[in-house]
Amino acid sequence: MAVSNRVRAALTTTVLATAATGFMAGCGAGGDEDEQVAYCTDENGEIVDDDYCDDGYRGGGLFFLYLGGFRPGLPIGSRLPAGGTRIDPKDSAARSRAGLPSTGKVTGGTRVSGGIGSGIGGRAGTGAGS
Amino acid sequence: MRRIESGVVRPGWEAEIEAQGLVYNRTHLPGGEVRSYWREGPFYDFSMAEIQMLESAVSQLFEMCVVAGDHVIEHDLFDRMRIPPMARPLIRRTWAEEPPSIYGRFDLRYDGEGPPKLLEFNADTPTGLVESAVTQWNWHLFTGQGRDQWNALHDKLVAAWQRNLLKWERRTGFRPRVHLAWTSEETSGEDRMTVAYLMDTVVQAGYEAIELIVEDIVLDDGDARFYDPQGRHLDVVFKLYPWEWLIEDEFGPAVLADAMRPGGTTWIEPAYKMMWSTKALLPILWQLFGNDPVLGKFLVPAYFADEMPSSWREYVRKPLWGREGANVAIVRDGVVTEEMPGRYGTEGFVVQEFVPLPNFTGADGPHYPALGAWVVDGEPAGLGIRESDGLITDNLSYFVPHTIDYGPPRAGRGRAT
Repeated sequence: MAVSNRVRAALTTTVLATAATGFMAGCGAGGDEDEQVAYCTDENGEIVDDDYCDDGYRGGGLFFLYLGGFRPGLPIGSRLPAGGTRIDPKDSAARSRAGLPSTGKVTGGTRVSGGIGSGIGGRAGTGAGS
Repeated sequence: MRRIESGVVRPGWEAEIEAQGLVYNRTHLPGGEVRSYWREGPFYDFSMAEIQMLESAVSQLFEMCVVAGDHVIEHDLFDRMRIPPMARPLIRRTWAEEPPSIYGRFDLRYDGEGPPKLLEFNADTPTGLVESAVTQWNWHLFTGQGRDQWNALHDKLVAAWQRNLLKWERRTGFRPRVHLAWTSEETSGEDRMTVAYLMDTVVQAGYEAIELIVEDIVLDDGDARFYDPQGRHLDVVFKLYPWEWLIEDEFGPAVLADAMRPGGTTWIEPAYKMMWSTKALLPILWQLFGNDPVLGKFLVPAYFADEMPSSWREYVRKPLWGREGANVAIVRDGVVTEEMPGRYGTEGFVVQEFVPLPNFTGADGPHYPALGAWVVDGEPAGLGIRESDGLITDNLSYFVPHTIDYGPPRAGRGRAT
């Protein structure tokens, strides 16, 4: 009865070897170029002043907190592409679910996600493995 | 089973094992000392008969766990096991539907004489995989020590992805991409390398593998589904992140709700692993099989702490959801003699009869090995051994490779080292 791998040869572990090389070279986890960022936009996806997405804003118009893989630091007036996520700025639960502050203004370019991990759950000071 | 002290020491082995993925080999001790987690030189050797017996025991243990899972569901033992109500519908669903499950690790007490005995089942997020599957396999091939090694992990992992993902594909009608996620809070590199290695096995199974950090998982507020930072839906996610943490996180309720919906994310390991990864499994197994003349011998008597026999004076107390030995205490003659620090235990404890690990003493002192027997897709797949200087196997233990049927080199025919 065979109890070992069929081929008695070194395993092909390209992803692992690459990750190990990167780790030993001191590279951290992933780049920042694909982070989710949030902007305040109008209904056409055009970036507007952050004040319009303050949950205390009482003026007219339809504004959204718009999340996606956008470049940080885009100026007001930029038109963001489709495919992002719209959040009602007054929906505090939705804001916090998306990793944004539940109330107040959201500064353009704020990174979201983080609803899993980041010490939110029952941390115990050891690794996730066992 | 025996411990060989003076095996081959490969020149440059430390750099080699790091390059192969064991980047977390250097263990930083509290006093500032740095030591190697991998032991180069010593190894354990088994006869093929011993390995076949261990394999058979692991098969039977797995079947016992399946019976225990049925028992928990049928008798609604979730309160007793401290499994939160919110998780139960998904546990029941995944138990019934058998979504993809890849791997788990039984920790066994074995001394080469009596039967192996189950200490615990790391069913949800077992680590120690890279050193078991890759590092010790390469060591075995390079040193030429032993006729074989109990190590079919790589082949079986690739086959497990193929079988499970094909089944998933047939059920849903499309080919999934597989995200593999680790938490960036784990900085030693162990979790990341575990995920990287599993990505290799996914790719070799013929599927797209994408690395992901759990903190970067995005919940779309519009459709309440999960995406990666690039906006790709998470079809199938392997998460090196325990269920009991996941459900307590902010996205936890959304994870559970989404997984119950058609087209929701499939999480690996599945939620039913919560029934097996808690130490509450141990008293349930004992209750079901403790008196079985064949199966009972693979178990150590165990009880929920509040049901412990009043006559017990020597036992181990384990928190229901502890990890890596945290908060484990050894009680002798009614008094705690060894206790590991940690923050677990508020959820309750189980007690297990004190069955000390065997001691394979060497010139450098005592060595207490615990056998980690891997199960892949429900089948025995290999072995990884961690040994400690003390009786509790913790995250400061050593990994020691193993062989089958080692014959020492005869005079004049030995390998040049």
